[in-house]
Amino acid sequence: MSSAAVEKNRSQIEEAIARLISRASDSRRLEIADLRERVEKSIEKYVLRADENAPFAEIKEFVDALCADDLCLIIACEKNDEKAWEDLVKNYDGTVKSAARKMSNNSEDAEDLASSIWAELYGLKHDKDGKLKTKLSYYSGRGSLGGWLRAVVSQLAIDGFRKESKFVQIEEAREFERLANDSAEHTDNAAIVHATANPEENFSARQTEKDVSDALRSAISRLEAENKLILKLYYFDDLKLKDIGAALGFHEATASRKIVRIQSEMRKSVEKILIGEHGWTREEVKRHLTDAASKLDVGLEKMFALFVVAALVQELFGAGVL
Amino acid sequence: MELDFDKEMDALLRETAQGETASANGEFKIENLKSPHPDADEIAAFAENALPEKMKPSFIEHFADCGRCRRILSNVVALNSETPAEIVRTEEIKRAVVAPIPWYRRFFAAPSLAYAMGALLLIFTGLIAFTFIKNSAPDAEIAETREVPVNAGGGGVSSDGETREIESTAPSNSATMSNAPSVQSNAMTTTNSTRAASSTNAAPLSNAAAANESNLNKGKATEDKTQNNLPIAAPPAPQSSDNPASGANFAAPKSKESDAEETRTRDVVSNTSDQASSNSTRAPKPSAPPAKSAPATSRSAAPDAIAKRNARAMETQKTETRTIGGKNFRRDGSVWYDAAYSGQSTTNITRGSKEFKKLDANLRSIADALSGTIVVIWKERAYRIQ
Repeated sequence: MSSAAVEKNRSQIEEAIARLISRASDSRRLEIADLRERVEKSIEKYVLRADENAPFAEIKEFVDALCADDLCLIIACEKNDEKAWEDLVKNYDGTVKSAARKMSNNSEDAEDLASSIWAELYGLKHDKDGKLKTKLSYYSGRGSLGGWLRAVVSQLAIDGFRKESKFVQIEEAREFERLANDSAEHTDNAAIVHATANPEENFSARQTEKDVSDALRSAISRLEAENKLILKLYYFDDLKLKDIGAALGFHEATASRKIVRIQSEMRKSVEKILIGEHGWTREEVKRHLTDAASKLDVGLEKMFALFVVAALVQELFGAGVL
Repeated sequence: MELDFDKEMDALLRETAQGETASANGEFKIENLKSPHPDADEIAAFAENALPEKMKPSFIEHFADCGRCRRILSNVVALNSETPAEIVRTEEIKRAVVAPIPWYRRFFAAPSLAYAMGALLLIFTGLIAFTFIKNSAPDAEIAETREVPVNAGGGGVSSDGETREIESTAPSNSATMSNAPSVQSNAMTTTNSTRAASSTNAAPLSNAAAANESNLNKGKATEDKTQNNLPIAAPPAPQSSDNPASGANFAAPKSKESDAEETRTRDVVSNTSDQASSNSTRAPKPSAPPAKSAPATSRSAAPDAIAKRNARAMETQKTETRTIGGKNFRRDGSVWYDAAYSGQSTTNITRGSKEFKKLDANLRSIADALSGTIVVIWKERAYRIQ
C-alpha cells in the first residue's frame, strides 16, 4: 500500500525512477513499472517513516542516491532473468564466501554458511501468489549490494552462533560442575580445592571487582547513545577509530577526540558511583585504578616473558640441546 | 595511532570488555529497546553511512543498547573496510548525481576532444601546405608583377627613368648589347620567331606590334604598379652602358619625368632596330600605326602573333632584365647580374655599410634602384652588393 505522499508525487517519482534506469550501466531491459514498487517501498521505509510529510526534494534526493546497477540486478534476478543470476553469482560469490569465512571457525562451517546464504537468496518457498520468497526482496538499493550481502551473512552467522552458544554454555557449566565434584571427593586434591589461605581477602577482592564492574556498567549506561555506541564499538568490538568514524559519518580524528572525552566522562562517573554508592574513599578509587593499569601492564610483561621463554625453548630443541 | 587519553580508564575498560566478550550471553545482552531490530538492509546502509540523517538517531540508540545488532554492524563495518571499492562507488554515485557535468566540460570529454584535435590537425596541415605552395613560387609572381611589355619592334619604355630591356630588340643592336651576352641569348630564344619574321618581312613585326597591344597595356599596367615603388634612375647613356655618368641622372626626381621620357625614347630608339624604333615611342597605343610595308599581311598573321605573344609573355616571366644607369642587368633568381659580368671575383659590400658609403654615388644609386643582391661591374671592378 502506498502512502499518501507517494501517491501525491507519483509522476515525479516515476521521473526519478526513469533517471535511475538511465544512470544504470546495465538496466537489464527493466522499465519504470518493474522498479516502481520497490522504490516506493524504500521511500516509505527510509524517508516517510521518519517524516510523513517529507518534501519531494527529499524523496527525489533519496531516489537519486540509490545504487542503480545493484537494484536493477536484484530486480532482474527476482524476475528470473538468467543472465542477471549469472552476473550475481559471478560478481558476488566471492563476497559471500569471504564474509562466511570471517564469521566461521573453519572452512566447512564457512561453506555451509555460504550455501545457506545462496539458498535464502534464491528462495526455497513460495508465497500465496506463487512467487518465490527470496531474501532479495529486502534489498532496497540504499546501500551497496556487497554491503547488504555481508550484513546478511553476519546476521545469519550470529543468530546461528547464539543458538549454538546457548547449547555450549549449558554443557560447559555441567562439565565444570563435574570437575569440581571430582576434586572435592578426592583427598589428593584437597589442597587444590582449598588453595586460598585467607577467605576474607578473597571475599574482599571479589567484592572490589564487583563494585568496579557495577560502577563501570552503570557509567556506560548513563552515556549518551552515540558515545555509548562508540565506546562499545571501540572496546567491545575492537573496531578501528577510522572505521567507526566512517560508519557514523565523521573523521578519524573526531572519533579519537570523542573517545578521549568518553574516557574522561567515564572516570568521573565511575568515581562518583564508587564513592557515592559503594562507600569507597577517593584514595581507594585512585589506588584501584592505578592497580588496574599496572595489572594490565604486568599482564603484558608476563605475556612477553612467556613468549621469550617459549622461543628459547624452541631454539634449544631445534639445536638438539634439549 | 597514539591517543592522548586516560590510560587507567582505558585499561579498566579493556579488562571489562575482555570479560564481556568471553561470555557470549553477556555480549548479546539486549537492554530495554525502544525500536525494533533493524534488518540487514538497514544495517548495511548504516554501516556505509547511507542512511538518511533523520533516521540515524534511532538506529544509534538501538545499536548502543542491542549487543546482537551492534555485533552484526561491527562485522559489516570490519568487512567493508577490507573491500572499500563498493562504498567508494556509492559515494561516487552520490557525487555524480549531485554535480552534473556542465556543457563546456562535456566538450573536453574524450571523444569530442579527439575529433576536435583531429580537425585542428587537418586544418593546420592544410594551412601550412597552402603557405608553402604559395611561397615556393615567388619568382613567377614577381615576374608577373613586373612583366615586361613584349614588343617585337621596339622597347617598352617606362617613365621612371629606366629602360626595361626588351628581349626581342636586344639582339638587334649588338653595339649596346655587347655587354649582355646572356641577355642576348635569352632574347634570342624568345625572339627568334619574331626576329626571323622581322628580318625577312616587316609584317610579322607590325603584326606582332599590333598583337602586342594588349600585352603592352598589360605591361604598362604592371609597370605602373611598380613605378611608384622603384627608385628613379636616370636614363642611361645612349651609347655606353659603362659610362653611366655621361649624361645620366640617377637621382632624377619624378618631376623630370617628361625629360627622362624623351631621353629614354632616344635611348630606346638608339638601341633598337629600325623596325623596333618605329614603335619605340612612349605611347605604344593600341592604335599605333603598323609598318607601312606590311599592311596586307597583318590580318592574316594575327593568330600567329597571338601565339607568339603568349610565348613571349611566358618567357618574360622567366627571365627579367632591366637597364639602369646605362647598364643592363639580368635577374637570375634573386640576384641581378650586370651584363658585363663574366664570372670574375667580386668585392662583397653590404648596403648601408661603411664600404657602401665609400662607393661612387652613381654606383650606389644603381644599387638602390635594384632590390636584393646585385653584381655590377664598375670601373673594371666587380662588386656584389647585397
